[in-house]
Amino acid sequence: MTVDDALLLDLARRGSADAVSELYERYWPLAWRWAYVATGNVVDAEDVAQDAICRAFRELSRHDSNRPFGPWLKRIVVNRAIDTYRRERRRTEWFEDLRPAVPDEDTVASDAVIAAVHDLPQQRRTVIVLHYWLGYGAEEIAQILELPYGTVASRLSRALANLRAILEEERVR
Amino acid sequence: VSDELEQLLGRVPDRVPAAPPETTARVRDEVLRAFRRRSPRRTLLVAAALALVAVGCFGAGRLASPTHAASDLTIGARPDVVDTQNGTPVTLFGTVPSGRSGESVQIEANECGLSGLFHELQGVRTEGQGVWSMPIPGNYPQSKVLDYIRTKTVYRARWNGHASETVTVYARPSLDLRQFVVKRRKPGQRNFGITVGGQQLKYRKRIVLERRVATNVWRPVKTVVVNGGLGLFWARVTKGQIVRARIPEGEAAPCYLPAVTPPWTVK
Repeated sequence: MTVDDALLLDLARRGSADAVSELYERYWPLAWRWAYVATGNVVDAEDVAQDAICRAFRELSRHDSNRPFGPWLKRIVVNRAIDTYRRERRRTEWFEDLRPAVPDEDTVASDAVIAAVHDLPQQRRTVIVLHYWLGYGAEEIAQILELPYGTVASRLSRALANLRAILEEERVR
Repeated sequence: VSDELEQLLGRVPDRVPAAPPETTARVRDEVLRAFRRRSPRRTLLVAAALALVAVGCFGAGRLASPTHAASDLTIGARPDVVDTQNGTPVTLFGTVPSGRSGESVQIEANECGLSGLFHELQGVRTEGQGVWSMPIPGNYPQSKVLDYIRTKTVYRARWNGHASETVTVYARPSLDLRQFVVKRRKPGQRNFGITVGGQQLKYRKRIVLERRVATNVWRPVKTVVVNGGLGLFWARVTKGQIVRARIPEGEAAPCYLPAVTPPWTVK
């Protein structure tokens, strides 16, 4: 029997360690993945995902029980990643752990895209990561970054244009 | 290029490696340790509250039987507020410490305004991971065993001689305001009828008729005493004014939550 999240959350709020453990099993892989795509390296992903999931369970009473847990946790991860990013300088390691020992055609193309995203100016890279890798719409990104919707849309459009130009340049080479 | 680019971008998250197992284990320990660190304090608070209640009950000669809380015998209710008019179905649920299926759990209830004692409601069996759940229907009569919830009710689970903490399901009474046309006594007066639902709200309950003077600002127009769940009255309000009826917290307590009717435009 699969116990649904809402029930587990209620039990966790009432002090059930088993419920917390089960929720952890369900959401840690997701938190890790979100943290990784937001930070681009294992070291920061570990810090961000751990801080975010500990905070989520510590502040479970602040979660609106009528809303799903996943998006709430994701937002905590993203906010934590943005804080980390603002505090620290960008690390040079960027998705290095993704590089396979024996690259094939797909991974080469994908690596080129990752490298192109890395080369983008920070503001444009942020909207690309939030939109394509974390699945947020332009309106949600505007809320997260506290920017007008139009600014986000324009950054997305310019970032894609930049990426296209970088990749075309790579092809010509 | 754009489609291909967007596809390539979209595929990147699929390549993210799984978290290292040692990190997963370390963070799990950290989460559970942080969670348990809070639990002893919570348990002490609950124990203190239970002790106070027990002393109070013993003084009043109402202590039914000695109980103590088992650490992971839990109970919850969803939703925890019901509407007595529309009948809200509620699900009680919880876990037993053994985590095994097929365990017998007794559910007990204590309804506000009745004996003040817990009585046995129904037995349930746990399923996987020691989880049990019990639905309570929203409208009477859907079950011969269970009544629907008509007033604030406190529930607890009993398993293997242990009693869980309690969970309270609150009830919001139904309140209905109607304007009806009769021969007016004076110009400007309008006639209204108000009904209040709720077993414990039948007699001498004061309901306030309010009119809206600004956004979210309401001013009392008249207080009406309702007997037998029904009150007929007139009030000096003008056509087009927005009014509502409200049962204040002091009148609704202890068995109900305060309630208001939807805003009504005077005809």
